[in-house]
Amino acid sequence: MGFFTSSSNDQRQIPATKPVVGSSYLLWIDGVGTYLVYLQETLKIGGPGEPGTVGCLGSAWADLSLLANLSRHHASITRSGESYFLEAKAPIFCNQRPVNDRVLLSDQAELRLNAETVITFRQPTVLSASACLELTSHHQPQQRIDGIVLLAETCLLGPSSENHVVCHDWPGTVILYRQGDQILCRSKLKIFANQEAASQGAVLTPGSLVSGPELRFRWEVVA
Amino acid sequence: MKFTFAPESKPLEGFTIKRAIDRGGFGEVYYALSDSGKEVALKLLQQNMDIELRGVTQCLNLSHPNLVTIFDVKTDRDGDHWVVMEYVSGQGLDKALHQNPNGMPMEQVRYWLSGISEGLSYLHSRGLVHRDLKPSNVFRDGEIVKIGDVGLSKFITHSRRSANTQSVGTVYYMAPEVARGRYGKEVDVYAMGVMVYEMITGVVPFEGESTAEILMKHLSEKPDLNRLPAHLRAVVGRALEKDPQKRIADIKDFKQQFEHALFQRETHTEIPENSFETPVDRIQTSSSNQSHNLNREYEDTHSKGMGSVFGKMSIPLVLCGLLFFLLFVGGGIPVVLLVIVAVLSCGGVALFGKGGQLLFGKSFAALVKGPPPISDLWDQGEKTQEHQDAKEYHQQKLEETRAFRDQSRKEAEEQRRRVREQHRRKPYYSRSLTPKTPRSISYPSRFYDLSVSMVKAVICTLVIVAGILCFTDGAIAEGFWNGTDFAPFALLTSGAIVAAWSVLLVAKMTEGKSFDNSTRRIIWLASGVIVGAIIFLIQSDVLLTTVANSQEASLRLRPFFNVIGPYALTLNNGQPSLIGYSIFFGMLFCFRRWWWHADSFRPRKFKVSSVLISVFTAYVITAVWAFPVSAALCWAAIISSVVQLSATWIPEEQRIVELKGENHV
Repeated sequence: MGFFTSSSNDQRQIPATKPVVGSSYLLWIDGVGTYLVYLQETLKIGGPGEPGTVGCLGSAWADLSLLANLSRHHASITRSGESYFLEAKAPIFCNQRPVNDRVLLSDQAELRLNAETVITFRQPTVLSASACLELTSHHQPQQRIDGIVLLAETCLLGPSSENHVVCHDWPGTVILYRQGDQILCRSKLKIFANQEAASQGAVLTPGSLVSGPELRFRWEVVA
Repeated sequence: MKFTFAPESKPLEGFTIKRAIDRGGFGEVYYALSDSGKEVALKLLQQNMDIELRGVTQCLNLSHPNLVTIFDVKTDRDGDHWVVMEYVSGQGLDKALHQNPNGMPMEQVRYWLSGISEGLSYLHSRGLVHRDLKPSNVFRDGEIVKIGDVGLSKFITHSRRSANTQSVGTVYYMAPEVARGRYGKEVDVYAMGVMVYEMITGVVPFEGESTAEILMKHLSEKPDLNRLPAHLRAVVGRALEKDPQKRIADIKDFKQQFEHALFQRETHTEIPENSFETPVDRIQTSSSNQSHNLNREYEDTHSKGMGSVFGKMSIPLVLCGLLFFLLFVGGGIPVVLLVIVAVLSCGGVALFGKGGQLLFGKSFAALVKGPPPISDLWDQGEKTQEHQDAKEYHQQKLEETRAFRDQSRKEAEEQRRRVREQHRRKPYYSRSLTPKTPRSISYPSRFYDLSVSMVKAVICTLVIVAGILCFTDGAIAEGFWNGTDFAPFALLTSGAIVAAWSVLLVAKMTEGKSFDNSTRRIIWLASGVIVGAIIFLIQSDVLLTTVANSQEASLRLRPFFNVIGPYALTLNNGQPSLIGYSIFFGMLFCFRRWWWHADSFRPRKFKVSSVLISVFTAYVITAVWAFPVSAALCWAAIISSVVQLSATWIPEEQRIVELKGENHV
């Protein structure tokens, strides 16, 4: 960096690579909420992007674009095996300690992105490498969501607190899991995906409606 | 919970339903997006439609940050009515109560009470009463408390306070007068009192097994205020009065009194004896004690009146004395006139009570203190004293508030520390689910799996042995196909089945249990020794045969040990002895990790490499301890294959469910 050169040139932010179709999905769960299921290994978090480029959840710069006073690319969360790392691109605190470069995230880690914006990282069960992000300070992307699931191999939806998405009134657990490039769902409950039996496993395609006893959710690809 | 409309349906023009939110007493509520992306809650009116429609229409133009805004009421093509409302995403008070089963921290109680009282106060000031205030109707949107279901509100005007045939509200929070059908804004104060009681203690004041029982308790039973902190009993008690006339009438008053009681802990307000009396109680009590009370009241009033009059009269009487003294000592007409004025003032005080005292007091002040500039000098001292008192009081309150905040902060910090500690102590489980993962498996389940596996083991063994018979030409196949000697075939088959069953039995009984490696290997060594002994007995006493090709199959290898102490491993005819069998099978079972072969959490159902390693292990054992090589390799291969094929195996994606033991799934 030269003496008269603006530092911003050196810290140019690289626009987020445009996600391939199916890299993130929305789960619309009756009586529970709306959850973003993110399939990529790295999630970029930032503030609102340029006008016109903002999607309902992301922007040209970030995969999760919160309506908060943040940099365009403020931080990244990367999955590495069964662990998650937070990479700071702007001042950020993890459990009230400043993050200089990269830090390993533990369950219930509180990520303070600025004075007001707080996200909580959760790994509710040790049986799955998937993790969740809770929008603790209620700062939302343009499309309101109740949480984010960083899907590794499996995502559990069920009544107990060990599930990634806690659905209090459900009679049992539904498992979403990867098989190659596809996402499938199965359960010991008698469930149906698009009115076809899915208890032994059924592929979820964008727009799939999964229903069962006292449960219903829709699987929707993020535009 | 079944809902009428599926996601992506558009029953109402301009809105797309994305998901269902809940079902309330008046209908289903959906989360929807308008065509331009505005999020709203759509409420489909299904029951009590006339009540709801009337209430909603009244509340259409209400706007307050603590009330859920109603945007519009629309009718769809089928004639169904929809209420378009503001969507509130946050947690409800019911969930917050659920998270604090033993009561909330006082800071949170104040937060909820403050927001609710603001919203209710606005509603009451517009002449409306909520009527259905309960925790599930109160939400938190960010930092703002919002009251929902305002559509149930009803005009409080006297003409509309009459009975409604439809009972509204939730019975736990329902004021006694609602059951009688006549109510006003006091019902909301009562419901708020119940919610505050529940927020502090974690339980509602009146519980019961049926609606009727709870209603009866609301009508007749006193709430147990002993559960509350002593300084809050009086104020919550006054909000829970049965008689709306005796209840705190205004929600803001309730909030102020609550705050006052909270910050003035030392001052305990006594609850009057006649609190929580129903009208019936009052009539009975008053009829039995009427005369006594009347007498007592008369006496009280009389004594108080006399006391007050004497109290008020004491100063003028002293002054009269002084004036009489002056009259006799000084004499003169002005003094006489003063006496007359004093006597008239005393009479006025006696006649007109407080007004007279005021008049007399002012007159006396004017006479004694003089005109205002001079009287101000008299008053200054008193005012300074009052100001000092007020300042001290203010300071005291500030100190108390500060102390309370410090204590609340400490309690919150302590709570956070406890949660962190609990979290740190959470048991750790390995992420990958392997045979080492400890888990609880019921014995019926173990026996069921074992019996199925044993049947499968027999079938698999027969298939493999059939393959040997078909594709080899050794002594076993020769004897079998010629029909001359079935014994070698029977020995191979029965030996393999006995060994496979033993492996399955031991593996299944120890599955999921956390043994250390040495213990496991001792168990397997012992079972191998027993298996060897059984096979020897089958060979020597049942089948009376020899191990095929025992001499030739030695491949001219010289094992390290032919004897163990005084006992030979082989007999004179080259056949393995009892010790030989026991050593071979004992070592085979001890050196291989057979529990990985048979465990339902093994990485793959069948691995060829496992079979090859078993064969190699058998070969190494025969190289160390004398045993027929071909028989050893054959048995090792068969046992390894049969065990893997017959033992239960759970695919990885199912293991989580199995491990969680979710029988309800």
